[in-house]
Amino acid sequence: MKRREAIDKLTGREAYIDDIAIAGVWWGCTVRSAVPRGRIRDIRFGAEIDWSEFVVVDHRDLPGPNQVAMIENDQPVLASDRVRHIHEAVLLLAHPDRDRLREARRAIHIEIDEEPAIFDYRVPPPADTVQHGGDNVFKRVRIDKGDVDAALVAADHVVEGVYETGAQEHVYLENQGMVGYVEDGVVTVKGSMQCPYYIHAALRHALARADNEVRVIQAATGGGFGGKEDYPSVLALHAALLALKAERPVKILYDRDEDMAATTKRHPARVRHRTGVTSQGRIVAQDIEVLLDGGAYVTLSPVVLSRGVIHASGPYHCDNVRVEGRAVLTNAVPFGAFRGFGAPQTIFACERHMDVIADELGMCPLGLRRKNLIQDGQSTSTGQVIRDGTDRIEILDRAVRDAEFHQREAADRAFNSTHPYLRRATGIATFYHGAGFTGAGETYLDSRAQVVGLATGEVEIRTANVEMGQGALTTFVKIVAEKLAVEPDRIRVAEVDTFHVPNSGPTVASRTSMIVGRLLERGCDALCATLGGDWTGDKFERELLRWHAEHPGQELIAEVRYEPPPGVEWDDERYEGSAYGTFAWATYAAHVEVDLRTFGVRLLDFVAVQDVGTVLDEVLAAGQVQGGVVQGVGWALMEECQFVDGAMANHNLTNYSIPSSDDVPPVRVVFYETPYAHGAQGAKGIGELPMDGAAPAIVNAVARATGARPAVVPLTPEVLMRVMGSA
Amino acid sequence: MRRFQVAMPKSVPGAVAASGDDFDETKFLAGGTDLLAEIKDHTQFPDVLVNLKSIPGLKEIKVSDSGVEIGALVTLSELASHKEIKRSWPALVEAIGHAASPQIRNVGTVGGNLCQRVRCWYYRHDEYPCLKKGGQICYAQQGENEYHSVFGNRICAAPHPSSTAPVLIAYGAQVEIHGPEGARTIDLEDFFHSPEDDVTQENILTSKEVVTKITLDRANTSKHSAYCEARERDAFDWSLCGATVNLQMDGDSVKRARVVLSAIAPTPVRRKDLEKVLVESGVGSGALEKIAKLSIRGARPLEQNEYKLTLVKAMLKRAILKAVKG
Repeated sequence: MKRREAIDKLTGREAYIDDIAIAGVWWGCTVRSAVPRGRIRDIRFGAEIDWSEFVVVDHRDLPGPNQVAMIENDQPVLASDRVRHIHEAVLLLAHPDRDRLREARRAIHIEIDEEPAIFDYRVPPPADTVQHGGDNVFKRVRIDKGDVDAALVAADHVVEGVYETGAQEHVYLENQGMVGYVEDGVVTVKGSMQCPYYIHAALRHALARADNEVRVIQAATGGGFGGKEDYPSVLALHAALLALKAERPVKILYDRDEDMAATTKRHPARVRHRTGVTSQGRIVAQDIEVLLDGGAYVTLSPVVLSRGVIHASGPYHCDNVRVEGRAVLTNAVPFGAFRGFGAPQTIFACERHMDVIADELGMCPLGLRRKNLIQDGQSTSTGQVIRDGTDRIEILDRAVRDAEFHQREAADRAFNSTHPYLRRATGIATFYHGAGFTGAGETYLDSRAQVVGLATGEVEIRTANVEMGQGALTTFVKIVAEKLAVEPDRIRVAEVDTFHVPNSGPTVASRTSMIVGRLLERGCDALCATLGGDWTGDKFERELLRWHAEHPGQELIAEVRYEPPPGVEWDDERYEGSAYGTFAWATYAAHVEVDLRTFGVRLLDFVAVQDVGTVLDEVLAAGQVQGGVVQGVGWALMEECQFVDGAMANHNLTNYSIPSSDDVPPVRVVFYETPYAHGAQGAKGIGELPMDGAAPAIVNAVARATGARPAVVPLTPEVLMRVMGSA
Repeated sequence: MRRFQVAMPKSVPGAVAASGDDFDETKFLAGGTDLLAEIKDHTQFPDVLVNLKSIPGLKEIKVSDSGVEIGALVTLSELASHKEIKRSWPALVEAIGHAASPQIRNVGTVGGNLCQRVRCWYYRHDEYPCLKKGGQICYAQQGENEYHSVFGNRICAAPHPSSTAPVLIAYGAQVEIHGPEGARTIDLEDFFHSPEDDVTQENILTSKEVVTKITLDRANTSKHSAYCEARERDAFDWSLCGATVNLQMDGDSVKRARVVLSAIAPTPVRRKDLEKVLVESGVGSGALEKIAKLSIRGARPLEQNEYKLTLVKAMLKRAILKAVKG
């Protein structure tokens, strides 16, 4: 089956929010703080502008609380008396002419009495920079398994390491954009998004409106990667506020500069490892400290931290594990969701550290991993017993075979000993990724989805999950078509509109195919139950038409709710239990060439082997893996967010380099398919997994090629030069 | 993006007639890959775009015994895939292969490539009223200048990004320019001018003049010609430093040489001093070292771009060795 919207996308027919013409629309823009922290003293409107032509919105125009409803509601929709980061929104303007808007924005002077700010998340905050709680800590998370201190004392060796990872920009193809309008008293927003019901909740809260007085509609969305998980709530509120005051539709489109400067990025992180190992390479204690830079507001940092902490100990069995995690405030533009959601940061540290341990013990890094990989019946750091039948050793071995690890090692050794300045080696990373929300998250979401039998004999899928390039639309259709054995063209997918689709949860956390897809399968069952039998194919359609003939004018809606798989229990206080319904497992191998003259790293080959449960669509699944690896290559080697006073200075695509097709060799993708009983057709989550593995595999390869011990990404030539200089 | 009008002249004199007295008023539009981006970035605000694509005859490549005439509107892709160009001017094909991305080369024209504006994030950002935009200072001098010029950078440090211009200069190309007084032809080498001449423009064109043709003479080409450049990323990236070498060889000796450096100064830079060494001393390793050393004489690296001096030497040596090999 072809991608459902492929032709529309290829021909440019797909209507993104920028393409949707709206009669009488005005343009909106945001006036932002130029300083990282301070008290707003005065706002001056330049005399050169006729302000009567403009609609101006400030915090006093909010009908409800001045809060972006998220985890802690600490972020204002518009700053009132203080700002906490550069680019913080203070005022909104609307005008029919976009150029006049630019001139007007320049004519506004926000005078701020600056206060001491903090930008380095790694140092304890001086007293005059404390802005949250007593210590700027947004969230603490702790995992305790066994007796780490005793095990460290008893261990033959203790290996320590500190690893740092940088921020990353999502670079979705389509910038953020939203239009707001009021229709029949209903405040409506339409635009680019991953989570319509997050926006719905944010609008209800800050606009003080009832459920049916706000409406959220998704327009075609050109990529998200988490960047359209939390931030669109802010943008939707801005568009809605302007529309309410202007009494007409108002559209806000960020250009690339504004989008990169003002919206969220991946959390920078520092992870410390202290690992006790026996002389034979058995890991007996893991003592891990995870620190995230949260930026100026809480946003999603607590849950990013949570996922990071749970993934920090890697796919290994160890009886004694302690992970202490903190996310702290800095006066940086808030960090937010990004593919992997904390796991890439901690997995980078864990997998680099595994190679360092192997080095210290004089062991082969493959042997060390084989010895410690979780086996069925053993448990993760949270005590979740893994019993999924996946052959994790075989996944590792397959990657080793496909990457010709041993043959290449010999060939590279010969090459490296003769070549004057090029050095080659293969690195690997073994990892896992929990699919779906963490802990009790899925239960808390209480997702609902509908499968509707239409009077035409067709079936309609109603969920709040969005197509954003990943292929959700096609996958959903495929799941229902195969379940009911009907042709895909007999299946419609309802527009994602909160007036028409139930809340099936956000399009995040690698949950869409696995969890919502499973809801759709159950919805098909429920629909058939109403039709009085386990119908499929033509028989199903006949029964559906018969039902409508017997119930003229009625709708046949089968709605199902999420039910946690049996045995999934989570203690959020003690961080114990089943952190995820299931994990996807993988080993990636990178073959690199390092140029000792330029310290540039070239990727020669990449092998990605994973078990993601049943593969629902080979092309889309391989696309997810290849895309995730490329995003990981960028994060590992070139994507460097350069911060000045907590704001990204290189906020455009000439100065923030992402990989081009020439920078990445063909990514060789291999799937193992051990079905997961509670995912659609046996599928597990796939979207985020590939983001986790590229960086550690590549940096491990660089370490093996050079003999240096790089512990930082992005590992730009400048950073590698410094590392090698001190080696 | 500010609104503008588009004029669709049917002839070159018509285009000249449609053009205004200054650059804020009218701009000539060819492929638009640079100009439209500038308009979208709010760094150019022309009232009228004079669209050259409506003029017939500017897209032809005419091959003759003496050389080739390239219409200014020939796209970079068309030029690089032309059989005769591939055969006789190989370094030009090499240089085009490095320019931007295939999508941009399919639209961008050779005339536009010569007339494109500089690479400089201050120039390209509307919040920085730099010298080029009529302002008072060059922000790069004390600012983020990693990618800027290391030669001729005292007034404006923005490097000229064209990778075809240095090669065309090395091949002795001439450009035909049309203006109110009719047509004239000049050496491409004399087409560019430095910030000292006029910091707001990179070439001698007035707002009423347009490039219509580029001419290459067979007498000036050689199989011993090569272009090398360094970039941060393998594709779709700017040149950090380019070196073009065009040698007329007789056995091991160099009879005539042209050497042009690019992306390291506000214009492509022909280096007659290096050409002289090549002719006098040849291409042995001693000569190469001498040339490399000489190549960075007079350079004035800024705080963050001293590395470009290393690149100048390396690219130059690579280009010479490649050219000698033929």
